[in-house]
Amino acid sequence: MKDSFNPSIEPPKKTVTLVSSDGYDFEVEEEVALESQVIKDGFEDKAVDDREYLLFNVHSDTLELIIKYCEKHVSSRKSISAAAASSSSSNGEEALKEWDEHFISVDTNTLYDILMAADYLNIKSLLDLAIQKVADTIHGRSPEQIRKKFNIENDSIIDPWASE
Amino acid sequence: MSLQAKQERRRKFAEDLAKRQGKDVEVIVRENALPCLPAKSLLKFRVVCKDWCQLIATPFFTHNQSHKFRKMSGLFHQSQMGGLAPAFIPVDVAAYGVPDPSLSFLPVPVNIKSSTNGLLLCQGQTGEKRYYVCNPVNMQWKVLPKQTCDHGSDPAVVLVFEPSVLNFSADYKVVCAIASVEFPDATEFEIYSSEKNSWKLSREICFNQKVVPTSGLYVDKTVYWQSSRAILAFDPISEHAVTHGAYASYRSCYIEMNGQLCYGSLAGKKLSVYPANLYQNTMPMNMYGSKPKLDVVVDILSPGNTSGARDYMGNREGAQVLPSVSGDVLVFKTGGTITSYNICTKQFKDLHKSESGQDYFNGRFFAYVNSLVSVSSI
Repeated sequence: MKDSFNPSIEPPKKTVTLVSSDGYDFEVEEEVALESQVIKDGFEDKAVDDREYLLFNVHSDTLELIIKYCEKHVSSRKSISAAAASSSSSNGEEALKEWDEHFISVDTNTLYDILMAADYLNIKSLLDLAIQKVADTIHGRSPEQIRKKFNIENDSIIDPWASE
Repeated sequence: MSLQAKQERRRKFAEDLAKRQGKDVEVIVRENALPCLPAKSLLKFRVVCKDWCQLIATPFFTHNQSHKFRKMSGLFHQSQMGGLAPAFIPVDVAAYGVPDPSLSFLPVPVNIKSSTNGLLLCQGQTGEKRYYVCNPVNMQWKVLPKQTCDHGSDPAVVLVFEPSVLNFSADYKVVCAIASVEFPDATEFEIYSSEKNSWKLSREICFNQKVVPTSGLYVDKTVYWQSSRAILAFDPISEHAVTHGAYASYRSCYIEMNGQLCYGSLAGKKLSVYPANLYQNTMPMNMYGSKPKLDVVVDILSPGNTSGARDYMGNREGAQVLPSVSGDVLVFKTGGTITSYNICTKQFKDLHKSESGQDYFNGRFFAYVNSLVSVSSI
């Protein structure tokens, strides 16, 4: 119940529970979970008391990172718009860009886990971030390394020596 | 909506989320990451498998890559002495490159005049001195019709090309600032449009402005030239020219960073880049007040960097900042050595080092983006 004498006290934040593929529960704020377009799409149709999402393709290690990313983006968006409203200059966007860069500087296996989870949950900004990082890691590789990395069978019709 | 229908939708969503299979990482990479790769990597990756080869060959992929990949890939160098062919200096030799950097696939020897988003504008060295627009990756080219005005011996000509989702036909313009015939010290503009395949003299005229021919640069839908006391900005769509009081100091270089015109300069031991702030005396450009700060100051003698032990300023002769685009990498030249600095990783890397100490690269440099964009010959 809202305290009418002290409007600064906010009502308790609504939370949802995300369940990872290995069975761990993560309780997060509603707006953090809504960063995922997939959760957002089905949100209105879900019952008010049913606030559990089973994420069959996201491991708890990855889910923890994803939640960290979404929480950071929700909070920075608020502080950036607050700074814009008070017309004070801020370097919030720049700081967030730096944070993103640091966030995505992970080993390759983690990077591909994040990539797949971002695609599965449809989190556009995180997918773009991961894609750019993947592009940067593979652009200097040889075709053989690419085949190995992504388990691609060599059915090439071009003579590999012809293009060199 | 009835209660039953609502419950049905809820049940369906829960099922959908459960069924939603994670895509294979190869599929996600093929669909999303490939268009973000430079042309050299992509030409190399054609042999990965049949699917990749076919995808990379489609016109839609070519178009997609040209507007998604915008990274600084290297520098084209054009010697100012006659007879020397253009050369290419890649930022990363494994990822960025062109099959024929000397541009010998063109019918005549040329001088590069402008480089914008993957396309090069060149001018024949002899004879009629016609203009050529080419992509050195796929070696497609087009000769432009003869211009109607006199562009002079060293034309102030800039290639305007904006890859976008909508620009599927890869239309471009060429803008040349020319000395007015009727008014002394005035500048007029002749514009070529690939859509109409013709040159047209613009109605715009700029009095008391003479531009430096080699200073032209296209940044964020505007062409900029250095004039004697100002920056001349020309909008190729509305054909309006504006002069700005701000101007670069001696030996500084125009570079593009995150879509803004910036100056880069080497002074003392510092490489500094700061935005040109053309609109500082007018209203803020957006409702959020100031634009993000872009100032970058790099101490090129900093002991923290990997190659810090070496003195980049050992040879101060001809020390200069070279053009770059997109704001990931800065390039500078000290003596015969060309060095890149990555803003994200804060790493220095020598791109070219003259063995004999002689400086071959003493001409004009053009920042280049390794794009697959096709040049229609029609």
